[in-house]
Amino acid sequence: MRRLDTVRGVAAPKGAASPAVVANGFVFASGQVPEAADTNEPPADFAGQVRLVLSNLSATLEAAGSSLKHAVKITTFLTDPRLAEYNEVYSEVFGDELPARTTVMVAGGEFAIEVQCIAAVPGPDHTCGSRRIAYAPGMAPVLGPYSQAVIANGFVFTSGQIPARSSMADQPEDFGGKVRQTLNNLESVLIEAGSGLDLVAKVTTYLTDPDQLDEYNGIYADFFGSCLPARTSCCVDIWDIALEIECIAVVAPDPGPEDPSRAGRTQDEVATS
Amino acid sequence: MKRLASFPGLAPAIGPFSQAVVAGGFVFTTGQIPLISGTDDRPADFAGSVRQVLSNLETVLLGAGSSLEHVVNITTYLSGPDQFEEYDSIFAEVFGAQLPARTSVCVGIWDFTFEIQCIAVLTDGVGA
Repeated sequence: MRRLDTVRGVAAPKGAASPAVVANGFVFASGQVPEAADTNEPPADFAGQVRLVLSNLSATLEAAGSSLKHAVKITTFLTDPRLAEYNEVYSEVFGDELPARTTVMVAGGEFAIEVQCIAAVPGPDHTCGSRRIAYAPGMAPVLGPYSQAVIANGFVFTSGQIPARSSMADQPEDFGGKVRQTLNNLESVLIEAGSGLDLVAKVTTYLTDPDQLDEYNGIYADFFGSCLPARTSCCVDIWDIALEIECIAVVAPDPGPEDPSRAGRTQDEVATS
Repeated sequence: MKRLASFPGLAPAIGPFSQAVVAGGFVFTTGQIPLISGTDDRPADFAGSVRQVLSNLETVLLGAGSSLEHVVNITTYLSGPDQFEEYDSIFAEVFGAQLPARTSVCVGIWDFTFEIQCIAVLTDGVGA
């Protein structure tokens, strides 16, 4: 385990935090904000703020022995719904090597954007054996510049899953249906990544209304049974999406997801449920 | 993979989750909230809530084979931006020089005011 003290050219994180910590083949970066190291001020325009955040993240990951192309999971916290503008700059910076990503809106703080990231540390051959899942069978195409999941060092990091069936316009009407669809989508992504709901270590749930929790919990408990992951839930704004669920899971040990000793379902079973 | 549902001294879980899961050398914790023995037993003020949450987090980590010193990443959920300074000073006191990476955001978290989740490594560094 290695803690970075400072990153050259990047403003120190606010308060008691290391810029990044390296452990077990991964880099965990503190939330990056659009603060210039020389002036401690954000750029005037939002696109400039996004560029600065991603350039701060890039410098932080490189100081930790990784880089943006090895980023496995990004969580973006915006204070305004400026997703298109964010995606434009983000796509330009990341190109085709897209991490899993979740983007939500939070209450206003000092900055309009904050980006949290987990990256893999590449080996001496500059690769980290990671694999990206761009799409899982039966699922709606992605809504932006992200992979549905990235696999690295035995872990699967998923993007926040949403209640879309074939497209955003095709969603279950009631909240219970939306929860089931979201969990089915999560399961499809995990199976495609060689994992399953029974191998999830950590879930983060983004709800949009505090009254959703009880119904969510009931359905969630049905899906996960006795294999309950660690979980954090909070309420945020996600445009017109009712909820979003992301997770970190482990890759199934050999002989893989067909192992009858595992509780995991197949893609066909998910599709017909 | 090892799932830890409860820990001595920690209020029972309030939903369908494990308090921590150990996998691949890491401990992933559930978001810890300011409960002492149960949902009706909470510290009176914000500083007390922060201390209780950090003490709950330590209980979970020690029970999972890790510790505060082995935390690599913290996500803090605040319910208002004015909470940050008081939170940060207590956090600094508890963590000392062993500072994790950290992200703090303001969100809705029912009536809990404050929540912390973390990823830590195992004390003995051996994967589970």
